[in-house]
Amino acid sequence: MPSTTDHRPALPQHDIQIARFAALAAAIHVLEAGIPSPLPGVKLGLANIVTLIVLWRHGWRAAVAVTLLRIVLSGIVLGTLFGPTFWLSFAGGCSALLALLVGDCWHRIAPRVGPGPLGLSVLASCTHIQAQFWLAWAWFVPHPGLFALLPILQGAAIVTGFATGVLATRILTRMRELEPALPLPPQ
Amino acid sequence: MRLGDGLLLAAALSLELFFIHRYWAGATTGDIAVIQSPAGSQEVRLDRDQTLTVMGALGPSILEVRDGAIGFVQSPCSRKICIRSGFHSHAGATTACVPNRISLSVAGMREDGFDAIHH
Repeated sequence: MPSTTDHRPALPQHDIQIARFAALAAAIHVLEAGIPSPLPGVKLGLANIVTLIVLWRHGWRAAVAVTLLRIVLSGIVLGTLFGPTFWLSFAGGCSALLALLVGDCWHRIAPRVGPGPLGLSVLASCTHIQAQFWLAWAWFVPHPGLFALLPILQGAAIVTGFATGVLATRILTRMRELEPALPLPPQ
Repeated sequence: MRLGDGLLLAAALSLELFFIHRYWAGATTGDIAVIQSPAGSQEVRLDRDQTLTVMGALGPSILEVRDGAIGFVQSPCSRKICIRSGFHSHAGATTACVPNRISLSVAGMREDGFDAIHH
C-alpha cells in the first residue's frame, strides 16, 4: 500500500541521500579491493570520487559522514574491520578528509583561484598515502628500507589522484547537465 | 584547471622530486667499507681513490677504491670469485674472498636495501 497508511516517521531526505552515497562508495571500495595491486597501498581510489562529489555538492559534513561510513562498511564486508588494513584505511581516510576540508576552506575563501575537484583529489590521494605510509612505518614495519618505496607511492598517489579528479570533474559536469540548478564544477 | 589545482599539483610533484632525491638518488651510495681479515677489521673511506693490501690466510689481497666503489683486484685464491664480483658502492653490498678469509661490506650513514618483503 502507498504511504498513506504508513505512520512511521519518514527519514530526512538528506540522511537517505548520505546513506545512498555511502553505500555506493562502499560498493566501489569493496569492488576495488578485488583488483590486484602491484604494491601494498597502491590502488586507484575510485571510492574517493564519491567523497569528492559529496563534498562538492553537499558540503563537508556530508563528505565526512559518507567517508567514515564507507570505511566501516567496507571493513565489515571485507572482514578487515579493526584489523591492520582497516586502521591503515582509516588513517588514510581521516587524514585525506582533513586535507580535503582545508582545501575546501581555501576554495570557499578564494572561489576563483581555490582548487577544484581535480586539485582536491590530488591533495587527498597524496595525504592518504602519506598517512598510510607513516602509520605503516611507525607501527608495522619500522625498517629504514621502507623509505625506498616513498617515491613510488607518492608518484602513484599523484597519478591516481589526478585520474580520480578528472573522473570526478566529468561526473560533476554530467550531473550538472541533468540538474541545471547545481553550480558548474571548474574545468 | 585552476590556479589552486595547479599549485596543489606542483606541491605534490615537488614532494615527489624531494622523495626521489632523498631516498633514491643519494641513499644507496655507501660511505665506508668494512674489511674483515684474520688480522682484524678496518674501515676504509670510499671518497678517496686508493689501493690497499690486506694480509689474508693465504697471502696478501689487493683491494682498490675507485670512484666511490671498492673491490678486489688481486687475491691469492684459486677461483677469483672475489675479483669477478666486481666493484661495490651500494650500502649493504658484501663480497668476500673466502679462501683468503677476507670479507668486505659497504656501509652507509643510512641502512638501505630490503632484507625481506612480505605482504
